[in-house]
Amino acid sequence: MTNPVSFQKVSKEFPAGLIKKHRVLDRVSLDIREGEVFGFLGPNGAGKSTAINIAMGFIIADEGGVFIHDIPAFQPRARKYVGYLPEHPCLYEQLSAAELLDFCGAASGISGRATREQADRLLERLNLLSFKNRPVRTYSKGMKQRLGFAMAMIGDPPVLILDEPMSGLDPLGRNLITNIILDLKSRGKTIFFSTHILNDVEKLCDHIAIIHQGEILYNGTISEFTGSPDNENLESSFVSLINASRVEEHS
Amino acid sequence: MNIIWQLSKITFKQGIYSKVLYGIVLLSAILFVSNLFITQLFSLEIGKVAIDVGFAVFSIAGLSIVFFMGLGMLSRDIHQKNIRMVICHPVSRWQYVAGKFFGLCLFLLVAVAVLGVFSAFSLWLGTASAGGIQALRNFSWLMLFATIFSHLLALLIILAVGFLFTVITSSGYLAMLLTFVVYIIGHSLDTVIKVLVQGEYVQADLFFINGLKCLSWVFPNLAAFDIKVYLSYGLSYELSNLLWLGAYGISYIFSAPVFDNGHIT
Repeated sequence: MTNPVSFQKVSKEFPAGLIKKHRVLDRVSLDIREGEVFGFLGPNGAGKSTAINIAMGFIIADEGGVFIHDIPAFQPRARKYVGYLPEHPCLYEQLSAAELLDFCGAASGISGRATREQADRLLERLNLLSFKNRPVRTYSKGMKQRLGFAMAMIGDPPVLILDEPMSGLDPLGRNLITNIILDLKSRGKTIFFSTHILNDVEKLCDHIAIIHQGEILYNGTISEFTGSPDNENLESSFVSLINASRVEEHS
Repeated sequence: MNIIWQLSKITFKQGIYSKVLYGIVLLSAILFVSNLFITQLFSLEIGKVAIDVGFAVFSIAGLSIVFFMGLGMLSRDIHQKNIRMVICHPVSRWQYVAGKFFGLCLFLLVAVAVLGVFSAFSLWLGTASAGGIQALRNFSWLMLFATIFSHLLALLIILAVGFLFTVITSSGYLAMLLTFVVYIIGHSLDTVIKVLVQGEYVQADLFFINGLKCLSWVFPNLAAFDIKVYLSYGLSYELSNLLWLGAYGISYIFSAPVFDNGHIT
């Protein structure tokens, strides 16, 4: 059986001046198995968002590739299986949540009626139903983040790629999203998400990968990483690994 | 095809909800009404003045819609990554380009229809003291429609050029500036050629003139779409010219966005 998301020796460079190039990803290989919640961790500028942008087909890898159910990620049909939440949801602010979800449903290939049913259900779950006809520009940051989550989930995709899903949320919002992710996990959805918040990782993830300066430093379970069956000490283990990598670089 | 229609629909809705639109509508209404007072300043050729003022307002409003609303909206999509809300679904780049462009075309079509009604109304107001529209020399409603249609084509061409520049440049302001430069060239190159060909004391190489003529159609030749002079002087305009102009305009409009979908990320 193939993996829902597979990074195969993905490398990406960006220009850093006229001739010089900066390597953001260096032969990154990851396999996210079906029904798994996979946490993608790393400090700022480690290459997490670039990896997600390649997985979503927004940018193309220089070497290697990402495959969604064996379809190259840059092909639009690969995104039929994926729901995506960016760190800062990019929304058409003049439109209402109902209009945006209508569009997302149609773009995902589901009928108008099914879209409206799903939209109402999702908005209710995310405490946005009473605001569904209001323009998005009147929403708070947390409401926009929750709407972005609803847009990712419409069409019930089997894979969810979430870039910092808790960003901009208050404790109640975080709790709500955490519960939804746990619910999605119990329904067998595959979730790949990047985050800085290690507490969320401890609660949600089966597997983690730690990336630093474009290289994967660790890929495995949390308990193997921390050496503790209760997923304790994740933060200290994470900091030690990154610091050790920095010392190695300098030496 | 459904996704292109859906994208056109939300683009059209965005246009309708845009606050910029209210400003443009208000400004146009004031300018159209002012036509009544401007024409009173002239004792001769009131019809020509009314047509000139009416179509000048039409052009200002149309260009404001293209530049501030159409290109502004597109620039936010491309440069602030709002486009990712669309292409994170199974939507290809060409579908995005087509949907967005058709949505803006649809919006411009409706805007031009409204402006056309305003323009005809302002013409009627402006010429009321001189015996009304029918008193204009060889006035024809068909010619009025043809003039509005040619203005619409010119606006769509500017939109297509703006679309191309928005996608291939890294800044919305730069795209607007380049589009404006093309607009100026498109309107003035024809005059330059006429001066070179007909000017009494001008000597220009035939090769150079022919090169400029070709360039004027590449840029595009927006002056060719300005046929209001035929309406204001009651001159006849060949149907074949209009058809040719339509074919040129439509082919230009459809070729410009084709070049740019590879740059969208």
